[in-house]
Parts: sequence; structure tokens; C-alpha cells
Amino acid sequence: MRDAGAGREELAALLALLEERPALRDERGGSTSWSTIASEVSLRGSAVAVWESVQPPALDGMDRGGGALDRAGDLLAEWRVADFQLVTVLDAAYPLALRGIHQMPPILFVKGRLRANELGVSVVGSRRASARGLSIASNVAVGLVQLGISVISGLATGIDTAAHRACLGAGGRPIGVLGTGINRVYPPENHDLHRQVAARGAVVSQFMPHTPPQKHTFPMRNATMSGLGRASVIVEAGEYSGTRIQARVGVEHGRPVILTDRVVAATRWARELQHRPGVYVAGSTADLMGIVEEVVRDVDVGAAGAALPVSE
Amino acid sequence: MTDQAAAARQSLLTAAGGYLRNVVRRPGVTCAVCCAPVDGFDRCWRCRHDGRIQGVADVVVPLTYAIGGTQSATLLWHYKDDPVHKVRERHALIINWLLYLGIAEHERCIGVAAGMPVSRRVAIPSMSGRTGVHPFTALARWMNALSESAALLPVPGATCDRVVSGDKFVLQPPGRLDGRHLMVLDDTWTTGSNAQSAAVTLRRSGAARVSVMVIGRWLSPGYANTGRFIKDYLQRDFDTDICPVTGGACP
Repeated sequence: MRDAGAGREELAALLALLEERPALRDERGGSTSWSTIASEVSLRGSAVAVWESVQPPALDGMDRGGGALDRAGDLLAEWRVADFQLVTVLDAAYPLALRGIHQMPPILFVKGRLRANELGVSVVGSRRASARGLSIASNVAVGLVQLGISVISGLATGIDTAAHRACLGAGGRPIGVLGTGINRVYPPENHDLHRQVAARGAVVSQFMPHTPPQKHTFPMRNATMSGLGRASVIVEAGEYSGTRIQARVGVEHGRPVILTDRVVAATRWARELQHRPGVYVAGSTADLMGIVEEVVRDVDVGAAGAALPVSE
Repeated sequence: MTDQAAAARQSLLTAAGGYLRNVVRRPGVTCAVCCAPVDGFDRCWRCRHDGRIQGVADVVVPLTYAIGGTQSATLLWHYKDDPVHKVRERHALIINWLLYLGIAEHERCIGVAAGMPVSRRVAIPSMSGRTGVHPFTALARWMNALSESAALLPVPGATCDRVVSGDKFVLQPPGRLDGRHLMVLDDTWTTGSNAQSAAVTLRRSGAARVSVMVIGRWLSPGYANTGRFIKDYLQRDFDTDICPVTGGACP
């Protein structure tokens, strides 16, 4: 793994793999998931090695992979003057926490600065939030800043915006994870907020730079947020809110999910989820911050291996 | 239950209960040997085929499933091969708790199923392609799961193909295992050829019983009716009260 970022050849091979999505492991060529590519490239330590292993032998002397590699080269040339950086799974700068989940994105487009050892917690919730919900989001964000924890959210309206703004106001480190490409601002009225989050923390996207907001990009973004953070706080959400995705994937990642009692009172999914492993319900902001402190500490020092008594 | 077992249960459930799944032991639904989904048969094709080979294991016990494209598969790939030490370490803890509980709480059940208590434990060694001690062996050794008096070594040149053969491994130190119950430990069961090859080797050395305990029975969601099986039977969070030998209460 390189400290300064993957070389140009590795980047080109990674982009070519993402375009062609060749058959890897059990997946079918053309539809192999990006996270499988990420895992394979990370385990092998090289995108070039994976790329070369999936190229059919060129019997006629033609280099079949040339097209995808050429297009990758063009993109890299174009991005050299862009206002974002690339962080791939081959880079030492890639966030450690994100390496632990199965939806690990192969490449992150970043404005601002992302740390490998980022200590963050997601604060997420509905776009159409109540005044009470917005106030809880702000209080939690300020509480996290006081603990030295980065506030991760999705740069959407409502709860996300409240969390980012409160984090900025308290002098903390905000991290915005986009459901679009890095060149898009969605919703458009959050243009200024994007800029401030990038300046004081990081704006991150796992999609190609011009990707528009789509139905499937938001759940993927929620998985990334869950993976980036030590825990997810669900402030306020409706029955069909996209936020429920983050709660569910958080459980599937084995990461703590903290629901406010308002979410539990308001939705059936939260009432079912509250009994699942690693799910906590908080009745107040103080209660919630107590849970955050506990789960963050657990990850740092609480985990010890178990050994059997020596026999024979 | 000891304090350590209670702590391991708690840690395991909190960190991985949301994605690990108990193995299903149901005639006609899962293979009586390896717990893979079957279509009405008592065993999967592979276990029926390998079951005819002299010396294969008496009891096979996967502790959970490793489901392709999900967190459980990531766990079993990345605990040993992730380039970042901290990531390997986090995943390895989960494997540690699973194996600890598997042995501390269910080795007795395997003894009951085999008709004789387990007397020695060995791990499957690295085959070609990996140098040094396999991360699973290192973990098992660290947690005192391996016997000092018997170990398996790969035969030079033996490969990790899908054929069951008693010629892939040798017993070290060479000796007789008459009257003993040997339990083979490994991380993943895909076709079972490595674990069954180890079983055949141990049986040739006289082992009276051979059992296999693996962390994960590999499942590919795209294969045959596996996706359906996952949807119908693998939706419940991991339950440390379920015995992997019976799929219900301990025997």
C-alpha cells in the first residue's frame, strides 16, 4: 500500500475494472459489484494484477483491454485539474473503518481531507424534520464535537443540514457523504454548506463525479456512511424514510445503531429493529451521548480475545 | 456458563449478531453433513459423492454460514488477507469468539454425536500459495485450541484442488492415533475437500473418530436454490443458544 496514493497505472487499471466489471469470485462478468472489485483489489494489493488476471489471452495480438484503459487514462487526465482528490482502497489514506464493511467502495472522490483513522459518528434523519428533531440533531452534533468526534451526515435538507451546521458552529469536523457524484450539489440550496463542509472537514462521494441523484445511489451512500462511522444515530425518521436503510445496514455491519425514542414511537421498522443486536434506544440527548461514549470506548479498548484453558 | 463464555457471547452478539446466521439442520432442507441447502435429499451432491470415500469425517459442524456478497463473507476473506493489520485484527476477534464458543460450548455435543469425546484438535495447514503459518492456525494456536501432540503438515506440492485425498497432509509427529477422536478445525468449508482429506489422513493413522469444525459454510447466493434458502431460512440474527450440531438444543 502506498502512502502517497496509488500510482497512475494502478488508478487506470482500477477504473478499467470498474467499467468492465469482469467476472470475479462468484459474480457474473459485466455485473460484478464494485465492492467485490474493491475487496479483490485490496486483498491482492494491486488493481493491475487483478486487471491482468481477467484479460483473455490476446490470440490475434490485439490488446483487448486497451479501450477501457485508454478511457481510464483520459478520465485521469481530466481529473488532474479537478478540485477533488481520489482515494482508493490501495491508498494508506483510505478510511480504516470503511475497510471493515462488505460494501467498501473501491474509490472515493474527496473534497477537503479525509483521514485514515477518522473517528466519526453518523447523525442522520428525515429531510422533512420537526423543530424538535432539528434541535436534537444540533445538540447531538455539538455533543460529538465536544468529544472530539467527527459528525458524519448526508448533506440533505432537514436533519442532515442541522447536524452539519451545528458541527460547523461548534468548531467541529463535518463529513458529508453524497448520494450523487462529487460534482453535483443536491439539493441545490445546500451549495454553501457543501463548500463549508469541504473547507472544514470533507465532502465524500463513492460515485463517478457527474452521477445524478438516483433511487439506488442513496441506499449505497447510507451503507458508506454506516461504514465510515463508529456508530449511527437515527434522530428522526418516517415509516418509509430512506434513513431506515442506514439503521438496517448498520446492524448488518455489526456497528452500533442508536435510535431516539421518537423514531421508535413513530415507526414500525424501528420497533422491530430495537430488539436486534447492537441497537440502542435513547430517551434524551444526555442518554444518547452516554451511549455514544460507551460504544466508541468499546471499539477502542473493550474487545479482548477469548482463550481456552490449556489441556494435555 | 463461565464468565469468559458469557463475555464472548455478549461481545460476539453485539459485534456480529446482526449478520452472522446459525446453521440450519433440517432433513430435506439442508445437507446432513455440511448444512448446505438441498432439494429434498439428505445430503448435498458433494457430500453424497465424498461420503463414499473411506475415512471421511463422522461429524461435520459449521458454526455459521459465510454468504457471498455479505458481511459474513467479508469477515472470512479479510480476517486473514486484508492489507491493513487493524482491519484483520477486528475481523479476527469475531472468528476468535465464534471458535471459542464453538469449542467451549459445543465440543461436548460433537462428542455425543460421534459417540466419543474429542481427544485432540488439529488445524488444516496452509496449502501452496501462502507462506508461513496460516492466520487461522495462528489464531487457533494463540487460543490454545490446538493439541501439542498432533499436527497436520501439507505434503510438498499438494494443491488446494477439490479432490478428497489422504495424500495431501501428513501427521506430525508421525504416530498412531488409535482409539482417539480427532477434531479438525478450519475457517471455511466450500466443497469440504481439504477438511475431508485431513480426516482421511487422520483415519489412516488409526483415529477412531474424526470430526470437523469450521467457522463458515460458504454459500453463493447465485447458485441454484441458495438465494431462496437464504431468504426463507437465514433471516434471523445469530443466537448463541442454538447448538450447531443439532440446529436446536444441545444433545
